[in-house]
Amino acid sequence: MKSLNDIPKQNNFKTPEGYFDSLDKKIAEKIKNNEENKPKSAFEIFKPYIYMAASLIILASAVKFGLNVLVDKDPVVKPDIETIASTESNYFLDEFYDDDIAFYEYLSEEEEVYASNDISDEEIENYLSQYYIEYELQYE
Amino acid sequence: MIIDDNAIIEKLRNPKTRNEAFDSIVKKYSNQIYYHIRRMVIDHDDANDLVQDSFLKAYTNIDKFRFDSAIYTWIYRIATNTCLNFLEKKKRQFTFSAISYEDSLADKIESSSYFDGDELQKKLQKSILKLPEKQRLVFNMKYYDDLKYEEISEILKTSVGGLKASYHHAVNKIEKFINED
Repeated sequence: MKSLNDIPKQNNFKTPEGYFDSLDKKIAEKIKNNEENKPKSAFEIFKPYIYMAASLIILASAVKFGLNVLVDKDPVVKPDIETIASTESNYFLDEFYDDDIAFYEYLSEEEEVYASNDISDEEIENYLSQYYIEYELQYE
Repeated sequence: MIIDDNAIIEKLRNPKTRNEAFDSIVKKYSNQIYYHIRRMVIDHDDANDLVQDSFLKAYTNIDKFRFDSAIYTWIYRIATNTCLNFLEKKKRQFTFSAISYEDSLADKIESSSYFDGDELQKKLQKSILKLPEKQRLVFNMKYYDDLKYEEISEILKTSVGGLKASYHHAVNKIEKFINED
């Protein structure tokens, strides 16, 4: 009965002459070919176009920003009197106009007060005739 | 000149010296990896293709290399997986064939000009071919490559106890096959 220890440990697998001398070169060649023929990812294929689009966006943004800085978009225009006068919805005029009406109404109310306290013509006549006569008597 | 693994790892860390480091790995381990594959696939042409594929995979996945592990266990692992995938594919091709893939390999041992062993050596190799693939891997790595169980464990991601049991069973089966007829 043979055991494994009775069999000499040998390497009986042979290779072609000089095989290992060129194996590292074959492997290097295979790696090189693989790198050259490596399928490109979608990003790599579209990379130039993506960069171009990004450049255009940056350029357009820069131009827009530059124009905004150089050109005053909403200049402050001082309105002249005519412009104010012709502006119906001018807030200050409306305010002034409202105040004017209020003042007028106040005056009207005063007149009404005086009107309501008016002395009758007869009383005035009596009053005047009494004092006027005295005045006439004293000085005329 | 054989470069120390630590020096290779240092060069691998630097992208500028990475290719140089990889060339050193190929020079240092290609012979060992070739025979590891050859013992599994028997045929020289298949082994030649697989050893190149293994190093190509190692190169393309070099970023995944964990610098705290040994280079040779990493390369061995890649080569072993490449080899197992190849054997699976071959076995599927032989599904409807009159002979099994293992029998075709045994025929190659008998007839190949690249095998120069005597009758006892041929019988030993044919006996090894009768083992299940994983057991064959364990036997070859322990018996021929002289790897430690801890190293095989790192390569095959199997427990040391399981590997010891596997090797023990493999030796028993091989001795049984050798002593048949």
